[in-house]
Amino acid sequence: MIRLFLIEWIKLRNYRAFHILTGLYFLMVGVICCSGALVLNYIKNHMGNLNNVFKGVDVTNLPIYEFPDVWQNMTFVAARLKIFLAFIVIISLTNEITYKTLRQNIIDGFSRLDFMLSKFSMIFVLSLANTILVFLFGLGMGLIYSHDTSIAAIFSNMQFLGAFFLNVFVFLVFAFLLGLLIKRTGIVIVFLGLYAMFIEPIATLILTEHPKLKGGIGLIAPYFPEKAIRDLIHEPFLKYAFQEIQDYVSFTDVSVVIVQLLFYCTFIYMLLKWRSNN
Amino acid sequence: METILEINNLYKNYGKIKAVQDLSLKVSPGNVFGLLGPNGSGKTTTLGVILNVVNQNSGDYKWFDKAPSKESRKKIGAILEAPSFYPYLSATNNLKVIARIKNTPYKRIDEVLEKVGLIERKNDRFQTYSLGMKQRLAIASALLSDPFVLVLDEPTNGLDPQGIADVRELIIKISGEGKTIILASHLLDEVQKVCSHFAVLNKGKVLYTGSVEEALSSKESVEVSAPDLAGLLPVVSQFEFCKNAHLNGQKIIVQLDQGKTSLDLNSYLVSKGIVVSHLATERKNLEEQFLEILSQAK
Repeated sequence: MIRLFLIEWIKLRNYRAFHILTGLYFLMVGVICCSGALVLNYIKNHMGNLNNVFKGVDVTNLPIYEFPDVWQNMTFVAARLKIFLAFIVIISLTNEITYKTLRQNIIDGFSRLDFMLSKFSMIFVLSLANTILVFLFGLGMGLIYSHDTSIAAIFSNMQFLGAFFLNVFVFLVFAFLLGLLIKRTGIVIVFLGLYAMFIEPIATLILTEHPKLKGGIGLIAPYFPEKAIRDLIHEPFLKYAFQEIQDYVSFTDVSVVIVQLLFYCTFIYMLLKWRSNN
Repeated sequence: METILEINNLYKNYGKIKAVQDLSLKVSPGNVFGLLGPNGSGKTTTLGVILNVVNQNSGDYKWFDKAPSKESRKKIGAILEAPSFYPYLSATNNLKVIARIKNTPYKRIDEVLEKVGLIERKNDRFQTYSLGMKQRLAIASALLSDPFVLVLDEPTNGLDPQGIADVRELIIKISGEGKTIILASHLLDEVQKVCSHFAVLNKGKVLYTGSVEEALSSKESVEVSAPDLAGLLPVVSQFEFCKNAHLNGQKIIVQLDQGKTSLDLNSYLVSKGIVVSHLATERKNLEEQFLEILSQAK
């Protein structure tokens, strides 16, 4: 497995576009995760309507970086950004198809499974790096803003970091599958963007809210790829408007995503195995 | 190891197109095996199947007397069609990827780059290379693991005359080291110059397979010429080992029976009191042989 990762690493280590894109991505995650105070200030000064939602509470005083709430808050926000990481995975895969190096790797002695695992090792490391980074930002912001900095408070609700890792990892595998199916870099990126940001959210919204579909066919909505992944970490901010939220990672949500992951892996393996790579 | 490669009754269709039909071949150790055929005759498809990147419809093949696996592919150095490398990586880094896949030590990288004359450009990105350099890097990558077998698909495609000569010299040198080479080409004189055995493919079928030596030696003809050309022809025709003689410009082309040479013809003519002004043995080249095989198939 380490050998397979090293092979992938040689491919990426000297690939400038990869460095720039991952660098920019992690920078973006950092900026967005750490700019909570600025955002709250903006809401206070420019979005009067939203202030009403908080029933007169000064929004800049909202404890968004309070331990252990920071973990759900931050992983929820950071998970919105993973699509940019998916673009990197897509580029690294479609390059192999465009330049026929996937085929050459197999001629040289890779099995299909070797190729898949070598790419998955990269996806694993990217997801892990992303998770660690979010942990560090959360820790930093918490230590600055939180009132309770006891070890117990800091290290409770770590489940959200686990859920975040799974969230990113499965989404990247999903992007990998799309890349393998569609093959053309630009088309995959545009399709994934449209799908994850518009097509699926709108489709699931209609399914869950339309009076005629709700309760019937609408029950399939939670099993859509993006929706299932998104539901790993539920929206946390409504609690500041005194609404009920799910403030834990549910076993059911994780199971749904794990089953989907297994399906994607099987599908990817089958595609690699049975498609002639001409 | 009895055979390097054995292909049995291979079939491959692309939709309605029958790319390969009932193809069987055998390559023995030390052969330089030429796969000849016009464009679209199924050469690359066949190589794709035996390198496990094209899935056949039926039939099977064995490498080194065993069912094919990724381990057998590690013992083969192969390039298929155009050289495929990461354009944004240097030659060295491209070869590092391959070395890792094949479990070959990195020190081989400089050795093979030296061999193909790319050592000075080893840190330049692949995308800055000329076509000839790309082709040479492909050969370097095939040689990297010091494999038993080289599979080369049109290795001189797109090269200038110097490049072609270099690559051929390299192939002859490598075959001299006892390696088996499987070479697909539509360039007949290339196959004639470097191959020991060959197969002719057309429309996915094997039309002929055998050694180059055999194919050519049975096709010797002798050219003779004398001041009295008109008188010469009937005399030559009466020679008991003459299969066929005909006038061609200022020469008579004579086909002799198997085992008879220009020496026999000459002593016969001398015994008849004829002195010739020109006597030459003409080996039929593979090109004529190839065209003959193709035309017989029609």
